[in-house]
This record gives sequence, C-alpha cells and structure tokens, in this order.
Amino acid sequence: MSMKLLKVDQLAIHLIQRSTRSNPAQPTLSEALTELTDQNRGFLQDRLRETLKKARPIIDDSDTSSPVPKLIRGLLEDGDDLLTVSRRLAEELQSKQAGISPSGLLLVAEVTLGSDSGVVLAKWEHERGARTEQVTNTDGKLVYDMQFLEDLFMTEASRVYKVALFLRSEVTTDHVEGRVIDPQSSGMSVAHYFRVNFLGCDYKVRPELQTEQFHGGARDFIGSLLSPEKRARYQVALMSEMLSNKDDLSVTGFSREHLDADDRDAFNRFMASRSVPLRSTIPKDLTLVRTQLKRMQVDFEHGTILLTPPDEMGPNGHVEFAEDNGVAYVTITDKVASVSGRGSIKLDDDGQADQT
Amino acid sequence: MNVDEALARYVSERHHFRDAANAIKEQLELVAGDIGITVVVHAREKDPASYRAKVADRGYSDAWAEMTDKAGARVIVSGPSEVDSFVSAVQKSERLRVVGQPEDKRDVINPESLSYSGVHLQVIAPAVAESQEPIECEVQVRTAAQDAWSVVSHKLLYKPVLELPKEDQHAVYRLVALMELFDQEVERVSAKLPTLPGYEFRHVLQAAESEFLALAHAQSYRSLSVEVLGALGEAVPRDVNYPTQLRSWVTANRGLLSDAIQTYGPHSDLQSSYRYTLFSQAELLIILERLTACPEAFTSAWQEAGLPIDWLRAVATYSDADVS
Repeated sequence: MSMKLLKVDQLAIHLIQRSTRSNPAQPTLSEALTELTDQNRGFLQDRLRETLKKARPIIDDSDTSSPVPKLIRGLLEDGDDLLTVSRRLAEELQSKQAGISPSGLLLVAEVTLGSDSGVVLAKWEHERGARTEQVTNTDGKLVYDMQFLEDLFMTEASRVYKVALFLRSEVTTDHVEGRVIDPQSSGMSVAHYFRVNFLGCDYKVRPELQTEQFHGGARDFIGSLLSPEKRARYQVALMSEMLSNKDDLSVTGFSREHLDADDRDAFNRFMASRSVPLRSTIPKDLTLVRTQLKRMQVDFEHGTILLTPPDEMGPNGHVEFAEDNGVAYVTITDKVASVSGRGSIKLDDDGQADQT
Repeated sequence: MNVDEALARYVSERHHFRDAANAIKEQLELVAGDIGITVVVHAREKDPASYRAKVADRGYSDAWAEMTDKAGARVIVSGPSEVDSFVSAVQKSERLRVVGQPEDKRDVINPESLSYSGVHLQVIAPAVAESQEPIECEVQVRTAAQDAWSVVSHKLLYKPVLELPKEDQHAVYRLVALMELFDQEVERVSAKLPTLPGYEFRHVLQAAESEFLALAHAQSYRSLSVEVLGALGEAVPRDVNYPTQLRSWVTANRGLLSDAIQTYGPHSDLQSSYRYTLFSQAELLIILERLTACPEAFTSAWQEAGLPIDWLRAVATYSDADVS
C-alpha cells in the first residue's frame, strides 16, 4: 500500500515508563493533544511515510483479550475522542510491556491517507546523543561545548520503534485489519508483546505461503532470463538465500544483494505481479519449499541434466558456470565416485528433457 | 491565367491557403522538436494586394501557376548552423514533402556586395481534404540576425514612401556586415556550450526548472542542480523525449508534488533543514519521476554517486520506492 499521501491531523503523546515485576509503573499521560506546528507535522509525516512502507498486514485475533481492536474501532467508526482513547491505549501498552522493555513515547495520531482516514499507534524509544555549541570559555577562548542528551527520539537513523496503522476502510463488521512494522526485530517472533499482547493482532498472511510465493516467483524470474550464466548465478543465490540463517526474506533486499543493477527493477516488478510484497519482509518458513531446496537442477538444451547440492555451485563448490555468447561452460572439478545407467532420457517436442 | 482571373480565384480560395499555412507551421514546429532546437515560426497566406503587386513586378505570364508563395512560413533559428540542421531535418522528415532543391541565398555570388541571406524551401502542405489541389508553400529559414536585417531592409529599401539617398541605402547594406558578425559570434559561443558542465542534460534541467517554478513560485539553485544531475550520470535520461515524459509525469502528479513542495519546499518551515534540501530544487521532479520509473536502478546510481542518502530518503517518502 502506498503511503505517500499520508497526512497527520491530530496527535497525542504519552510516556510509557520502564517498570519491573516487583515495581510496576504507570504511564505519564498527557492532558491535552500535542500542538502540531507545520514543522513538526512535516517531520512526523516524513518519518511515518518512510517507516510504514515496510509494514506488514495484520488482522485482529478473534480470541484476543486485548481491548485495542475495540478501541481502534471506536476511534475510526464511532468518532471517539482521540485524547481519551490514546490515554487508554497508553495504559494498555504499559501493562503489556515486559519489565525489561525500555521506556518510550506512545504516539497516537489521527491520519488521512488520500480519501481514507486512520489511526497510527507508534512506540518510539528514547535515544541518546550529544550536541555541541561554540562558546567562549573562562579564559576568553572559543571552544566547542558538548552537551549529552538522553531524551531524543525519532532520529533519522533510529530503529527503536514500532509503528502500526489502521485504516477506516479496513475495519469491517468482523475484523480490524492494519499493518505493523518493527525494524529492530526480525523474523516471526518480533515484538510479540506489541503485536499480539498489545494490538491483539497477528500477521494476516501465513509465512509458509508467502515463502513459497517468494521462492516460486524468484525461480520463475530467473528461469525467464536469457543468459545461462546469469540463470545459474542467480539460482545459486536464491538457494543460498532460502537456506541461509536469515529469519526474513525481502524482495528488494534479495535483488540488491544478488542481482545485477540492471535486473533489479525488472525482478521487483515481476515479484509484484506475483503479489509478493516488495517492501515488507517475509518471515521465512520453509515448510512448503523444503523438498525443492535439496537439489538444484540445471537442464541443458540438448537433454543433459545436472543435479547438484546448492552449496556445490559457484566458486566455493566443485561446479562452476561461465558464459560466452550465450553458451554455457560448466566445469566440474571432482573425482568420479560411480557411473550408473538411468534409462533413456525422454525429450519433449522442444527438445527439452522431460522431467515428469 | 491572367492576373484578374488568378486574383479572383485566389480570393475565393484564400481560406485554403490560410489553412495550409497553419498546417505547415504546426509541422515545422514538430520538425524542430524532433531535432531538439527551439524555433519561432510565422506563417500566413499572401495578402491579395501583395499578390497583384508581385505579378506586376515579376511580369508572370501565368499569374496562378507561377505564384509559388501564396502561402508561406518563416522559421527563425538562433544561429547559422541551425539553419543547415533545420533545412536538412525538413528534407529528411516525413512530416512534409519538399519540392525541388533548397535555394541557398547565403551563397556569395558577388564578393563586393552585401545582401540578404537565408535558405528557401518549397514544401507541399498536408492535404486537408482529398479533393483539394496540393498547396505549395514557401518556407524561409533564417537566423534571428538575418531576420532582423531582412525586416528592416524590406521597409527601408523596397517599400519606402520615398527612395533613400544612395549613402543611406549603402548604410542599410552595411548592416549586413553586422548581421554576419552577430551570427559568427552566436556560432562561436554556441560551440562552447557542449564543453560546459550540465550541457548534456540542459533540456531536462530546463523542463524541470520551468515546471518547478510553476509549482514552487521560486527559483532553485542551478549550480546545485548541475552538481546533483552531473553526479547521477546516465541515471538521468538525456534523450530529447525525456522532457516531454517528465512534463507529462508532473502534470499527472501535480497534487502530490504541490503537497511535497508546500510542506518541505522553499516557502515551508522546513526549508532550511538539510534533510529537505531537494524540495527547494528543480531536480526534485526528476528524482521523483525516476524513483517511480526505475527505483532500484536510480537508488543504486544515487549511492554510487556518493550523494547524501538522507536527501533521497526524504524525497522517497513521496514515492513507493524503498531506498533504505
């Protein structure tokens, strides 16, 4: 979903305290909405638009005990008072936050996205930094004075935040849907307390299905390329990405890391056409693709089939690919362990090896 | 056909020649656009009084067939080399049919005299109706200096109320020397342009600046634009069609761009913030268009150019591109 038309109308900010089990804290609540100057509004919109691009769809869990979906429905459907609801949300977040979670600010903003209206819930943690100022010291000399600051937030490089957006058009009779982003965490277990305990939501699309979509889309794109060298190189990269220890898959991340610059936009467009999310990460779940990742198969035009474990491909393995004028050269540097007959290879009408 | 018959026919069919002149003008402007030069085109049908005077002056035996400039156009270009490139483009273009060879009046026939110069072509106007007889038009191609001399000399030498004394006629012809020097200087300076920074994307920048001015009501800093666009190299298209593509994109996204410039641009409270520098710059439009058309390739070029990533991240909030 495009965020470029997101505008902030009203804002409430509350302080969520750090607390421990033995000493539970209460949030410090605002008594009025925060005044938004053009400068603050512009900066906030900038940060939210950038952040929410990568947000992932969520949907309320019908069994949740969290009151948040109901509070959101009240704000968006019934026009409940923003300040009142935001105070209630702050109390809820404070109660659901684990003792080890740092303090931070809860921002609750009424927003519009084109003709739609919505609400943003964001927890932004405090950050530390310093500022300097040139002053004259007691000896009358110019020096830079340094001041340590502990109450910064929303800095441009910050990753310590969680942001959720709920739109009026996505609130139905049965469900409250939205999207959430937490760049500090990764994988399936991200900010469980924020997404599940506080928001009362879970991811809308099952990770194993999205993983299969990603793998299938990338494999088909690679298969459509003309250069055999590129096909081999990208296929190895795809296998490596799928089998790596990373918790997430990302279309733009994969294209930037593994594809040549002039293939990236085409890859992204292809994946978008297959409904694979471009900007949000996909929690990797190999349940549905595991069998496809055990062996990598390369089919040649004249019927030769090469089957190899993925980690054998490339400069670190024993099978290397090179290309010259559209002709592939495969070099296998290894000892022959055995040779056996496997029957005749059937060719289809196009001369391709029949894989059935 | 004698002059009275020809003139009567001309008066009754004059509107066809007016239409032909307008059609020729449109096609000539398109030819100029094809080769990326700016021209001024004046086109009109012949005035009936001029028709009669010219027949009398030239003594045509067939006052209809021999009058080949019943409709005509004048194309004014910047410098002498553009005269040649424009004439050549008209000859090669399929937009207009050229009759015969161009008449080059710049050829020096008598080295001791100075006179009018320019290149004349005969073209056939695009047919308005199938039944209509093809209309031939004269196209005069001149530099701005040649045109200035031609207009002034026409008034002073050929259509004076009183004939000028010989020394004053000489003074008018002497102006031709200035005209030639003027054109030489235009050519010399024009030849330097391709060596200047930013020349390769001047058309693109010009289009972006005019669109930005209309949106922001403020000029941007051209030196910064040249630095940014120069660093981006081939990531900014330089072909002659790109300005048109950019203008269309701006038109389609005017609301979004107005909001961006109003919130972060030159008259906003955030205009002095480093992060929003590009919102006060004309290249904002090019960058956003590129982020929409080919986000990955453009982001990659931006990073390779070593330009501030914060600038791109701020602009990218008005696109769907992921530049993080």
